[in-house]
Amino acid sequence: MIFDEAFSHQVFETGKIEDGLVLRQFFKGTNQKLTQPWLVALVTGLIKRFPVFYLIRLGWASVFRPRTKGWGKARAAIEEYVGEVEAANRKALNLGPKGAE
Amino acid sequence: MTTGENTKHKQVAYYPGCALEGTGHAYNRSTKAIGKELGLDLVELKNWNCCGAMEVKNIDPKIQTYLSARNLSIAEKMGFETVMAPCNGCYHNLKKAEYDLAHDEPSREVNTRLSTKAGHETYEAGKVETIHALDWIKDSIGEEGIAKRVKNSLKGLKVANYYGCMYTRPRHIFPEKDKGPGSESTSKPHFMDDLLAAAGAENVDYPLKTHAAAAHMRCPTAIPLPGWC
Repeated sequence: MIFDEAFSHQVFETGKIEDGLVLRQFFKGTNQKLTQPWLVALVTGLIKRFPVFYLIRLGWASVFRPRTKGWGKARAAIEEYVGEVEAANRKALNLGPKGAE
Repeated sequence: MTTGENTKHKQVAYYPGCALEGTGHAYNRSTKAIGKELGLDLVELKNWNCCGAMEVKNIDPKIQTYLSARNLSIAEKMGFETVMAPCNGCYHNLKKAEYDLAHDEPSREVNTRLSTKAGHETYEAGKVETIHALDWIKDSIGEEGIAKRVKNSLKGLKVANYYGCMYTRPRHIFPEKDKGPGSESTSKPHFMDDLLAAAGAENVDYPLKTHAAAAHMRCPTAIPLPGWC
């Protein structure tokens, strides 16, 4: 669920995702090191093969995050809807307002 | 065998999706290169957004429907009746949104609400058809067309074709499949096999061709799953 939330937050925020940022947010949210053995192997393999254009592309996307132009209204509409659904769910479960516990 | 005489898909709207803009960029480039070589036009959707993938669906499936519907509304606004999504996940989500908007009133209500507040046209089911890259090549070029254009035959190459679950399931969101000869099958898909065979490859029987790769489940566990595609 933490991964889903990190991913969805980024979609709601910008309209698109950037794979690297989603991973970083997930590891941060779960208190895991970014240097996961499989991730290290993946990155090492990429550097060994050195696909220049591909690496530039990934690097570029991590600095200039992809986003949908004119996404502001959609973001506001989605956030409002998510807030309403979450409030209704919490009420149904007798959890009280978010952050109150 | 299809002859590829169908001109309907000679020019289609193109929805690459987030993966093809990032880690799957090679697929994006090769799809465009294939289109150019085969004389098929791909017109990228303007200001497209994420289809919602599996993750947004887990937060709220109606938001995923809206996100995919927004892309379909862009295709409609651009004057297209067909949008091609080469990513299995995006293809699946656009098809699912189409199905939900046609059959589920609450999904329609949320889509209308979000579209109206976001200030764009509300997409209504039935206006735009979503196809996969395999449909695109199969319909517009066909096996005969591929065979004629082969420059470097794949003869001698044995291929186990992997379609994955999102290309085939749930079958109700793919009403055009399982229609008999000429159509794609959800239980034994063959479009990729057909095209590769036309290019000279030898397809081998692969019993896991429609199994799930558990792609989005590998990250939460941070453990690479064996056989991940």
